[in-house]
Amino acid sequence: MPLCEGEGVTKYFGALTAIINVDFHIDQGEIVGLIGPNGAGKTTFFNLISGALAPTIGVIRFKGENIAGLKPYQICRRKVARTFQSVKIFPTLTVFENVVIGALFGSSTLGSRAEAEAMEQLQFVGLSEKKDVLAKDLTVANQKRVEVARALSTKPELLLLDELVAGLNPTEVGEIIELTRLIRDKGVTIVMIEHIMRVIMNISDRIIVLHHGEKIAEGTPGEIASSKRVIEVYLGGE
Amino acid sequence: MVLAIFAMTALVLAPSYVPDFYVSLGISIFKYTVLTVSWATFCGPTGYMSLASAAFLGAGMYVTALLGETVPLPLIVLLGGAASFLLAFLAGLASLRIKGIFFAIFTLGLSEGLKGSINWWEISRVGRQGRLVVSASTTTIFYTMLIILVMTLLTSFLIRRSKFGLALRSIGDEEDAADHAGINVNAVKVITFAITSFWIGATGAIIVTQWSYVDTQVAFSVFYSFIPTVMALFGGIGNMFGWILGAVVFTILTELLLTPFPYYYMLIFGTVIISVFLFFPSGLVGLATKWRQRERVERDATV
Repeated sequence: MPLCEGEGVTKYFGALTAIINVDFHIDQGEIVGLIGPNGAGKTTFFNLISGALAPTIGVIRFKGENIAGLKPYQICRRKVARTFQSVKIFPTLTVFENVVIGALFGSSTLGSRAEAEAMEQLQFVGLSEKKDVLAKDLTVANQKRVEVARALSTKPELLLLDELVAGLNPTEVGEIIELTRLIRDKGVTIVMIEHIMRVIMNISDRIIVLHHGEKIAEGTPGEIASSKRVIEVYLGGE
Repeated sequence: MVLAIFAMTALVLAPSYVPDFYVSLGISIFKYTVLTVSWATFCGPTGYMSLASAAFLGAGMYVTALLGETVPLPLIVLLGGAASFLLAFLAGLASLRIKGIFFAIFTLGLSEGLKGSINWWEISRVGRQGRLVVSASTTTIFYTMLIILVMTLLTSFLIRRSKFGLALRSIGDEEDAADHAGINVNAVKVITFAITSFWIGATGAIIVTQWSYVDTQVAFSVFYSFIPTVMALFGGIGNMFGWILGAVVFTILTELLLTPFPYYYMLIFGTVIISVFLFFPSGLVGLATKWRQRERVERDATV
């Protein structure tokens, strides 16, 4: 049984169809890349899995349970965590407070155990020395680390990373990629949206390509790179 | 801590030793501090601006007006709190999905709507506007208000120190992210909104016994909806000390200005408020911090 799977997932915004009849599966321990041109429906796809939106039609199962239409906090507590395309940290809270929230609420850990969990995740992402700094005073790269640490402190089995490296410099990109691998090595399954092909081809076990809300291709990085359909979509042409 | 015990002792002994005027002033200060601290415990961290304080206070007053003859006073006060809690809970369920200015207007509508509804009910069903209420002695009101104040401060302290305090702050910062981090945001909002409204209703239930008569214009005065916001901002919205300071200074200022300048007091008052907001956006607490910093800089400069 896949960790997470969808059947006929469809989302309308009024007359606009953002996601059309997408079937997908995500297996335990994979890193799945999600790519597609702007407006292809990648973030909508994440919003459907994480509960920010409910699908108009279709079923999304996580460990066999239909989670379509559940609220974000319910899905989070079922061990699906996410980060956001535009960073959504708690700016006036300290770095530590940002992260401890995930442990306190996402995995219902109590008091000092939650604090220990938060410290462990801060150490993991390399921010333990900045734990008392207000999150708004960090660089964008470090704010993204806070988001990752907050997500990890909810003890997820599936982690959705939405353009984690967007807006970072090459050194930072390298560090974040390394971090993503380390997260996978901890046993967390990852789906990531990324625009930088070098990154996605390098790190993904499998890639799903969306275009105008439809899944147009799926396969290993090698298969995707040589797919005629994908090249057409990205480079244009008939 | 020592200071707090000393202050409490002084307050407990006060009614036996000080003139009535000061006891009444004390009651006013307690009332506005309860309103302000209750309001700010929820609205401060979340940024949801509630203008429903008048509805909660008025609900408490009407509980006394309706049941004061038959039910003993301590129970009435708790029932006033319960009525306010229930009202806030229902209002929360109906409204906390709406945000920002819409929430503010919804809660203002709640106050005014409740005023209108009770007024209509009195005119068309009861046949007269307003009601006579039982009266209690100033000393009884003073001590009841003191207990309510202590309970309010305790409630606020416990909420802020618990994980719900953290949840409220995260909701104010980035509600979507709070939801995705596992916080049941609607439940946290509705429950804390209701809890912080409890002591406002209790205050209404006891405070109304100061007068022999109450009607909807008095009980649901829109003044009570806005004043907690003004007082909290005046003192400093950031922490409990600011809220208390705002309420105390503001109440005393009102009393000081009202007697010698009955005609100009609103004018002077307005000027003071505007000056504080314009020049010290973080309130009196911010002003004090600034002074302390300047002193430190000067001291360091002379060394």
